[in-house]
Order: sequence, then structure tokens, then C-alpha cells
Amino acid sequence: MHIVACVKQVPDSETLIRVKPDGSGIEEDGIKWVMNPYDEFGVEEALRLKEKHGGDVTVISVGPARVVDTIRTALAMGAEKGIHIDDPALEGADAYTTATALAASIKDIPCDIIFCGQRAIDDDSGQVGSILAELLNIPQLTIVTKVDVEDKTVKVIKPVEGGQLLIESSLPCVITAQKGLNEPRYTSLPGIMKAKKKPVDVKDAAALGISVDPKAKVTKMIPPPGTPPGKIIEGDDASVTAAELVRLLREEANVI
Amino acid sequence: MAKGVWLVAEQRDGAFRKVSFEVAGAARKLADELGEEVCAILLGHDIEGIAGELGKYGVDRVYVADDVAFEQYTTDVYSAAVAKLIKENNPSILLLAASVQGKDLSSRLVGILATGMASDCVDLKIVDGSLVATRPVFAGKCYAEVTILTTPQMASLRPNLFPTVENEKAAEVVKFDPAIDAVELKTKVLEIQKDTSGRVDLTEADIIVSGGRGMKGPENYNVIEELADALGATVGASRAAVDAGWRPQSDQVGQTGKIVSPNLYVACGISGAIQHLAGMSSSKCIVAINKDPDAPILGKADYGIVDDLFKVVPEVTKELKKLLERGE
Amino acid sequence: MLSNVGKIFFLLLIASTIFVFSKRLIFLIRLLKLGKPEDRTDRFWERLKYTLGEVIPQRCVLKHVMRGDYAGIGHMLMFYGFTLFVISYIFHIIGGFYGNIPALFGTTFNNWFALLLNIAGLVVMAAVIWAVIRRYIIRPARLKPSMDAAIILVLVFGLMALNFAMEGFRFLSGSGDFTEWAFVGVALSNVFASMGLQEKACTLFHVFWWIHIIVVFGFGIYILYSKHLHILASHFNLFYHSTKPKGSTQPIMDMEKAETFGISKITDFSWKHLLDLYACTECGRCTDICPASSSGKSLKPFDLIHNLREHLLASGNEQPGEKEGGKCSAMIGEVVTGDEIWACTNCMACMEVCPVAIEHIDKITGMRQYKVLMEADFAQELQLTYRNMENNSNPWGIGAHMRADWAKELDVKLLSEDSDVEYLYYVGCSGSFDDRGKKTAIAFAKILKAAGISFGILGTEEGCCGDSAMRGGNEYLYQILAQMNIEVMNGYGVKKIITTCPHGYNALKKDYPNFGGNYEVYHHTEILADLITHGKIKLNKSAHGLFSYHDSCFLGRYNGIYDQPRNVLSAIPGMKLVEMERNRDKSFCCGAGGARMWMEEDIGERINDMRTDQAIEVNAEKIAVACPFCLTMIGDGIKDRDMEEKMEALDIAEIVWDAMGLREER
Repeated sequence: MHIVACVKQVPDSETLIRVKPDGSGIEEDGIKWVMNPYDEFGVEEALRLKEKHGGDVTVISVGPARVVDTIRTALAMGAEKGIHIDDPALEGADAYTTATALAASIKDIPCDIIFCGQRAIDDDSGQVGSILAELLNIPQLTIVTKVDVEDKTVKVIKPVEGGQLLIESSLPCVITAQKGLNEPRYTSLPGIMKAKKKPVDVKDAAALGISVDPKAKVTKMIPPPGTPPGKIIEGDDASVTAAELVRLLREEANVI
Repeated sequence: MAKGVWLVAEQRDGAFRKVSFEVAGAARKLADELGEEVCAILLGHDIEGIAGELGKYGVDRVYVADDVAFEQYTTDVYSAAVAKLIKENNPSILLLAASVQGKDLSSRLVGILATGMASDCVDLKIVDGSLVATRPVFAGKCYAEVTILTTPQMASLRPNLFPTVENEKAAEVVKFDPAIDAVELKTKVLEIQKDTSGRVDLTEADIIVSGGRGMKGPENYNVIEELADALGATVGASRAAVDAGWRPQSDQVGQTGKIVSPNLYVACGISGAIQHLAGMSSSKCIVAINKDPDAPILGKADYGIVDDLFKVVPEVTKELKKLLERGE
Repeated sequence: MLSNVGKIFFLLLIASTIFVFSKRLIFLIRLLKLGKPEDRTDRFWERLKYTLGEVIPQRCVLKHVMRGDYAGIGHMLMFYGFTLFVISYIFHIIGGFYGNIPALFGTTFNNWFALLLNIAGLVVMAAVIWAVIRRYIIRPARLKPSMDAAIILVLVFGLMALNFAMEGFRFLSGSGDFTEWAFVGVALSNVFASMGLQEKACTLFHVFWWIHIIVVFGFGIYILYSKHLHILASHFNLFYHSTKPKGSTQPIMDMEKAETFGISKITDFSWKHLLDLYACTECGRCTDICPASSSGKSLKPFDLIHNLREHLLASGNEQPGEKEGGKCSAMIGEVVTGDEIWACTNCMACMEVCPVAIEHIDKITGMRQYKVLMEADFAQELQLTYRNMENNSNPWGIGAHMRADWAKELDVKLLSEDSDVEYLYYVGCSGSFDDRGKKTAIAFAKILKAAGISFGILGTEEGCCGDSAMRGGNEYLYQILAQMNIEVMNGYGVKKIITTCPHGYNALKKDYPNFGGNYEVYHHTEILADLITHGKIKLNKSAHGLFSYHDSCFLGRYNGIYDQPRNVLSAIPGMKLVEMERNRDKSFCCGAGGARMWMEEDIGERINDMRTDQAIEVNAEKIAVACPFCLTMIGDGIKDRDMEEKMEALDIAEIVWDAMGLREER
């Protein structure tokens, strides 16, 4: 099987995110960069399929020079080769543009399954996988928690509101990985050492033959309203405090 | 010239899902500002009858395609049908709910229509005739304002957020031919497994209610379960409760249990030692009910009640049930 | 003296004994040479002094006699007795060829020697009887019944008996070079005479003479085939003991160049680790004192060493560990199970109590390194811990930018603002991120300020010390963390460090020097003791409740700090301190060391609960600790035992701050 895993380098979920004073973006220094956790599930699943059915795994990432570290991590996990799409014009690009770049680099690679994370934890958009599938004219199986490949088809489990679906699809297809799909492996030291020697092709937009044509733009970044310190709800008795809690959850926190 | 605010309505088992009305309400508001029409697309099987209902919620016209192929959602036919209609009618805005179906469908449409979309929006407004969407990024640590540079300007809306409008109007219902015979079916739903427990897995749950050492025994968890039912939540447990054998290991939230990030986490009788916090600290909203005023979790909670959980929790459940009865 | 035929036969006997003995010895040494090289030739005289100091006064077995370990007395007696007998065997052999010992050494010598020997013989026989009673009637848990042990006891007793019988017949037969100072022999000869064996005495003397020496030779050979090998190996093992600072680990240097990491085959161990296996005398003290064994885990240090030895010997005929199938079982998995490898808390009680300087912990760490670095095969919880340490420099994965938040309201200097301070207070992850641990850091910082001590913290420039990574086998991660810290600290010219965590203390003091981090490191109890002695802080408020101090493994056994914390507590007015039975060097681990803090404990009983029970036994109300791990584990133990209303675990810093009576309103 030939499998492709798309990965994105994102800030660690606990890193402090500071919005630039002019609202044009976030401050990048001091950020701890990691592989998007949902993409990690995709890489892990790709490796498991390779180990079961034979074949190879190629890992692709769009981003500046620093994303090479993330590609190397995937190589250390066991992928065979990497493709790094590095072009300043693609920085901060919208989902369609990113997917275009990915599609251009994938279309000439033989592949049976393309894994993406169901969303990236920085922009929380969740679109690239599906757009990629459309551009390659292949089916998409999104937010999947189990994958089984048999011959030329794949069966997946997809959680929905109130249950889950068992879906079958032809290959090739795009699968976007959800938490619970697997537990990604820890990289072994020999893996890390070998990864340093595995090939990583670097391409820019011109090499891919695409023109960058943005479809959406972030015009402003707004820091969240300062999180008020936690409130201790006081009241004469439980019915009073309970009522106040429910009111706050609905009207202030908007969580129910 | 692109015109019209369109939406894709979502139905299940012959009835609209509540999100459809929320999206309709948002569409109505935008359309009023632009002075344009609101059109909805409805796909399904045996659903022609319900189409007009959308008029009550602000929709001017509903385009319906009724076919057995639409009985169960699949990307192939739904995206093809919607795309056809959108290409024919060229609306300026297209909205969907950021539900499971909505996420799958909307993203595919972005690809087919070669446009841009703001996903999981919490606010929409019109600025200089264009849509400006506000959406959370970095797990809600900040917000981004997004403009779409192409048409249709797409946005998916966070469920349970946007208000619905209601009036006495009826919508015009128009049948359209989705031309799905030409669509190659590449995926098939083999089986629908309904969740008998009715509860989502902890790691994917939007709302979690957890009980800890303060529960004092397995038999007392019924107060937690009732609250969970009222909230539509999944039940979790702290390590102390699992160790004591009151709850199964699969319920354990914490560093050595499950790491969860729900929108709402209600911790009952849990002190909040660091290993537990490590498992749920990324919850958007934390509520703590504990009779110990020194419990560390109260320092981390957005809302805390220092009282006996056996008094407070049933009251909260009662209040929630009242809310549901009022239809909110 | 023997006849010429006898001499020839004797010569042949000696030659064949030497042949068999040498062959086996060469085999054993060849196995040792299969191990990796390790340089232990440093400090020759120190090593010699140490070895002699352990062996001659028998400190090896008597070191814990004041703690109730009386079995060593029996060993001491047998050791001295048997040493005398070995000398007598040499005389025996000489006597076979040259006869007449008195002629060679003089009558006076012969008399005294015979007297001593007779006394020794009786003492040894009494010691064997005591040993038999212990092993087969009293049956202490640590002594496993074994055929090996039984054979040795029979042989030793038998040799004494044979010797006396031989002497008895020698005297009765009137053959020369006999002295009446050999009183047992004299007594026996009377017994034999009364049995009417006078006429046969001469023949019987010769018979027993031969039987005796044959059994001696047999015993000599048996030594090399049994656990009695320890009588040769232990001396060398003591000589080659580890001279690196106690409690430091063996780092893997040059990680970039190495191809394999950790230990998976028996030949991956260094020759010294293999020598350890020979030196083990199967006394079982290690298993007896091990908290993992005591709490029902499958790890029993005795079994670990024993199984490794059997594995080494079994694989001796081919290259050990390289044959698929056949005799070679997989070392990790079959000889030593995963559960055993991971159950160890690194408390070092086993090594402390071992009479022959066996190094258990490095063996386990080596196997962990293999599982983590080579196979990436280890507990899921630990994976998460390592990722958290990589991404946010703390095991809980809390945002690294929050590391200095604990000090926000305290006006504590950051080294980045002013690095001209006397001490760096290295707070550690618990003090920085754990709400419970922060209280210790806050209390200690307040004490230092009140005492006018010049100190600063690194704040967000501080990183995890890496101890849990190191002991959990993730040497790679540990070195990354250590090197980052060292770079920062050296950048500020840090010379003196105080820390409130014994794990950090041990890493900074013993392990960081391997990577260019050389500092004077103090634990906060040392500093507090000092401040109190010099009157820099005044303890005004009385203590309430019955206190007991729990010795943390990494502070006590690892670093010998037992008195300072006690002195600090005793200086508090009204302090009532009670000792738990397992205290000081015998302290019972809290269960969190060896990276176990981050792993699930679901086999057997909880170690921390057992320790809490020990505190409950002495009716302690306040348990004083000096380590954030212990603080958490014992606090949890108190909750598990439902004793929260009556008991509390507190760090010494909190206790001292309270006693200073300067506590502000909450």
C-alpha cells in the first residue's frame, strides 16, 4: 500500500498564545512547535497499515523551514520519505490554497489512502482534508475512529450525534483522523537517528505549478475577553446557588 | 452579481434538527441587512411535507429534493446536489451548521465551489456589504475575524449558539432535480449503530459530569447520572473513585486516565489534585462543587459552589429540567 | 605421611581436582569476559582498604546487626572458622607428602593451631545447626529452601565431623604429630576406644584421612558450581565496587555515535554486572527489604539476580543471547519480565543491605533504557509524561510559561533581572506547578527572605531536572533536559544551588557533573538546619500534635541526609517526634521514585498505603517530609486510609514557616 500522511506543525496546546498588539497575528517567539495531534493519529494509522499490508508512507507538510522538524518526527516514527512545501506565499494561507498545494504534490504519487488530521489545533478549521479529496476527485471519510482495509476497499467507523456509522469506501480516498483512532507510538532512538538520513524533497509553489489565489483572509486577531477569575457562587441554600449556576452557564458561559 | 443568503437545512428521521433553525435565524438577520432573500436547501426522503416549516424561522424559499438516495447522508450525493443548485443560483452567502454532517458537507463544498469558508463561527456580521465572521482559534484562546474573498462566502455556525427567530410566514417550496444519477457513488453507509447508552465517549464529549471521592460510594452516582442526563453529558470519575471500585477504569479522567477537553466539565466531590487537573484543565468551562473550601479545584474552576454536593447537584438537575421544559 | 603409592595417588587426585576446578573457573571467567568492558581500576588502595574493611571485621554481614539483622553473626563465625580450616587443609596436603607438621612448624605452633581449630570446628558446627534451625524450622521469608543451600550445609557440617573423626582415630591409633591440645579429637578417641575400635584405629584413620581430603576437594569444586561461588567472587566484587558518587547513574555518553542503547542481552551488561551475579550468595536481604516485593509486585531483587545468573550460565556454551531458540530464552520477557523491570522505585534499599556490593538498580535502568530508547515499548502513561517533559518541561504538561507564577506575589528575584545572588533556588516542577507543591516553595521562599539570604530563581528559564526521564530509561530526553538547564545555569555563573526536591538535588549534585554542570548543591533541610543553628531564623510558635519524619530515599540512602531534618524539627518548641520502625537507612519508600510517580500501580498493595500504615502504627498525626513526591504519595495514602481528619502530611519548610509565627492572613 502507498499511504500519504499530511501533517501540520502547530503551537503546543499549552503554549502561551499572545496576539500581536496590532491584531495582525500571534507572536511567534517562545512558541513550542509540535506535530498537530490529530495528524499524529493519521501518521500512526498510516504506519500500522503499512506494517500490516506492506508498502510505504510518505509524509507531507506545508510551512516554513521549521516544519522540517515535524516531518523528521514522522520519519522517526517510521515514514519512508517526506515532502516539504515551503513558500512564503503559502504562509497563513486559507484552506483551499493549502489543499491546492497538497493536491499538486500528491497527484503524481501513487497512493491508496491519504490521512489528514480532522482539524488543526491552531486554526481549528477542519476543511483541508475534504477540499483535498475534492481536488483529487476521491471520496472523503471524515472524523474517523477506526480504519480497516481489505483488498481495494476501506471500512471506517465515524461517530455521529447519538451513535456511530460504519461506512465503506473505495480506494483511493482521504481519511481524516479523530482522537481515539489509535495511540501514536513514541519515537525510538534508532528511529530518530535513521530519520536524519531519510529523503525530504523541498518544493515551492512554482515547482508545484500552482498559483496562489487566496479565497479567505483573517483580517483581525482578537484576544479573548480577559478570563474573569473563577466565581464562587454564594447563596442561602442549594436551590439558590443551583439556580444561579444554571443561569450563569447558560447566559454567561454559553455552554448549555 | 452574487445575491441571496442561502443555507443547507439539516433533517434527521423526517424532522428538522434544531441547528437548522439557528442557521436560518442567522441567515435571516444577514439577509435583512443586505436586503436580500433567504433560501434553504433541503435534501432527504419523504421530507417534502416539512419543507414549508422553515418559513416560520425566516426562510423565504425552500428548494427540496426528495429521493431515496438522500435518506442517509453521504458526501457524494449531498455535495453534488447542493453544488449544482449553488452554481445555478449564485448566492452571495452560504451557511451551514457546524454539526457532524455540516462539517463534512461544507468542507467538500468549499472544494467544489473553489471558495473560502469560516468554520465554527460564533458571530456573523455584514461590513461594507461583505460577510465578516468571528470564530474561535487556538481552542478558543483567541478569536479571528475572517472575510471571504470569493462567492459564495461560506460559513459554518457553532451549534447551540445562534438565536432563532419565529414568525407566522410560510416559505415557498420549490422542487429541484438534483441530477444525482450522474454521481458516482464511492462511499456507502453499511450500518447505523445507535448508541444505546446514549452517551458519547469521554474523550469526545462536549459536556462531562464527574464524581470523585466525595461521592462516598458507588450507589450515590445516580445523582451524577441524573445531572448528566439533564445536560446530555457523559459521566466521568476521578482516580479515587476508580481505585475504590465505584466506577470502571474507562471512566477515569486524569493524567493516567483519559485526557478530556469538553466545553463544560462539572466536578462533584473532586478535590482537584494535579493529576486530575492534567486530564481536564483544557475544558472551556469548569464547574466545581465541593464542600471543602480549600479544595484546589475551586481555584481552577470558572464557577464554584462550596456546599454538600448531595444538596446542590439534585437542585442543579431540577433547574436544568425546568429549562428544558421551557423549551430553551 | 603416605606411602609412595599413596603419594602418587594423592598427586593424581590433586592434579585432577586442579584440572576440573580450573576448567570450570576458566569457563566462569570466559562468561565474565563476554560482558562489556568497564574501567574499575581506579583508586587501587582505596578499593583494597574497603575490601579488607568489609571482609576482615565481617562488616559486610554485620553492618545491620544493630538493626536486628543477627544472621550475620552466624556467617562471621563460619567465616573465621572456615578460614582456619582452609589453612588446616593446606597442612593436610603438605602432611600427605611430608608428614609431621610439628616438625615443620614446631610443637608450640601445632598445639595452638590445633586448639584453635578444634574450637573453630565446634563453633562452625554450632553455626550450621543454628543455620539449619533458621532455614528449615523458623523459615524467615527471605530464605528460600534450596537444594544448593542444603548441600552446602551438609558439606560444611560433614567436613567438620569428618575432620574430628579423623583426628579421633589419629589420636587413638597413636600416629605421630598429634597434640592433646586437640581436645575434641582426644574426646572422640575415647569414644572410639569405648566402641572397641582400638585395633582398627590405624586403618580407620587412613580411611577418614582420604575421605576427608576427597570431600574437601569435592567441596572446592562444588564451590564453582553452586551459590558458594560467592566465597571467591564476593571479594572481587567488593574490590570492584562502584566508586562513583552513591546514587548517581551511569550516563550513556556519546549518544550520537552509539548504535544500541540499554541492555537486552546478558552480554550487554558490563563484566562487573556479571560478576555481581557470581557474588550473590542468595541471602535474600534485598527481597526482604524491597518495597515492591513487600507490596506484592513480581519484582524480587533476589530472583532477578538469581535468574540472570542462571541465564548467564545456561547460555554459556554458545554465545549467550545470540542463538535463536535453543537454550537462550529472551532475557527481557522471559528471564526478567516487563512487570519486574518497571516495578522498581529506585529506593536503593536492596543495594544498601547487600553484603557483597551488588548493583541492582543500574541493571534495571539499563533494561528500561532498552525498552524505551530502542523499542519505544513502555507504559502509555509514561509516554504522555515524556511528551509533556519534551514540550513543556514538566511531567504534567502544564504551560511552561506558567512556571514562575507561584512566586508572583512574593517579590522573588529572577536571575534574568539580577544574577548577582548567592544561591539559586532551583524550584523544580512540583514547586512550580503542583498546587500542593507550590505551598512548599512559597513557604521556603518566605523563610529565605525572612532570614535575609541572597537568592534568586530562574523562573521560566528553569527546566525539568530530568530525573524521572533518566530513571524511567529515557536517557535521551534526560540529557536534553540536563544540558538545557546546565547551559542556562552556567550562563548565569551559578555556583550554589538550593533545592526543595531530593530528586532534583540528586540529579544536580551527582549526575549533572557528567555534562559540565558542577555546582555546590544543598537540600533545603540542610539550609534550614544551618539557619536555625546560626540563629538566622527564630522559631517562636509551638508545634502541636505528634510528628514523625519520613526519610525520603533520595535524601537518606542516596545522600546520607538523616540528621538535619530531624534537627530542624527538634528545634521547634513543643515538638514531639516519634520514629517509625523503618527509618533512616531502613526507611520504607513512598513508592514514587524510579518514574513510578507517573505510572499506574495496579498490582498488589499500594506502596504509599503501606507506608501510611506504618505511620498510623506509631500514632503519628503529622508526617513531616522533605520531598514533593513523598508529600503527594503520603497525602494520598492518608486519604486512602480515610485518616484525613486525624493525619496530615507536611513539608518541613511549611512546618518551619508555621513555627516562625510570621504567617500572614490567608
